[in-house]
Amino acid sequence: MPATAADIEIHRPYLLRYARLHLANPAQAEDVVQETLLAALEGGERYSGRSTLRTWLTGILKHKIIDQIRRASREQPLVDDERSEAEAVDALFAADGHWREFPQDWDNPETALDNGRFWKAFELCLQRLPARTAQVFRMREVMELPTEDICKALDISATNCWVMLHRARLVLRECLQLTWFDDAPKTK
Amino acid sequence: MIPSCKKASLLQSMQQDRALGPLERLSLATHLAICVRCRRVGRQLEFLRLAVRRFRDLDPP
Repeated sequence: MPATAADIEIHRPYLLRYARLHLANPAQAEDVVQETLLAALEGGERYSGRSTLRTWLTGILKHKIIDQIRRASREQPLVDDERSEAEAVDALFAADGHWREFPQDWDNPETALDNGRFWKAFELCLQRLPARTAQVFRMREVMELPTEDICKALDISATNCWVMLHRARLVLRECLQLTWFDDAPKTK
Repeated sequence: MIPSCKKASLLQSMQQDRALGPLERLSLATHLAICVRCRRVGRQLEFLRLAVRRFRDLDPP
């Protein structure tokens, strides 16, 4: 079942948004999407119809994004200020390792998923992660890559990767606490 | 030994990235049994994972 150019073109906005989640440079995002659509057209007969067309296209796009990230990382790796990053996590805990602030209960957080304003807050929190940490987190959670693939692409150790993911999750959690859940009754 | 909340939160996070070893699982379970804070944060980390994927799949405007 070959996919036609029109079938494929419908998915361009989704693919572009997906690419932009990983590549800060809009021109690079456009490029990888363009390459993906071309590859899909040229190899159109390989689309088996077993997955949805969007899933199939996203699979091609993922490889192109990883290649791009790998190239960029070799040329000029993103660098976070490791010390201030470690401090960001340390600040959440007392000296004895207990939570400094009692984590609040997020009462039915799933209800926020239908709220457009929640997604605004979520996006802002994602954007506030330091560049390298965000890159690792997005490869893990958006692309759902196993840690070993992330380590290979960025040439970092698994331990380093796990520490960065921990940091990203705690900082994101804290940001949502402050910018959404503390205010939830008001913003609903 | 029961780990601190800081260590427990690292284990909870790593659990999303790799299988924990038997000792790690035991020490996390022991901690969670007595710590309502970390149980809460654990649920929130699961919610974060769900939210990122939902965010990814939102239709572009």
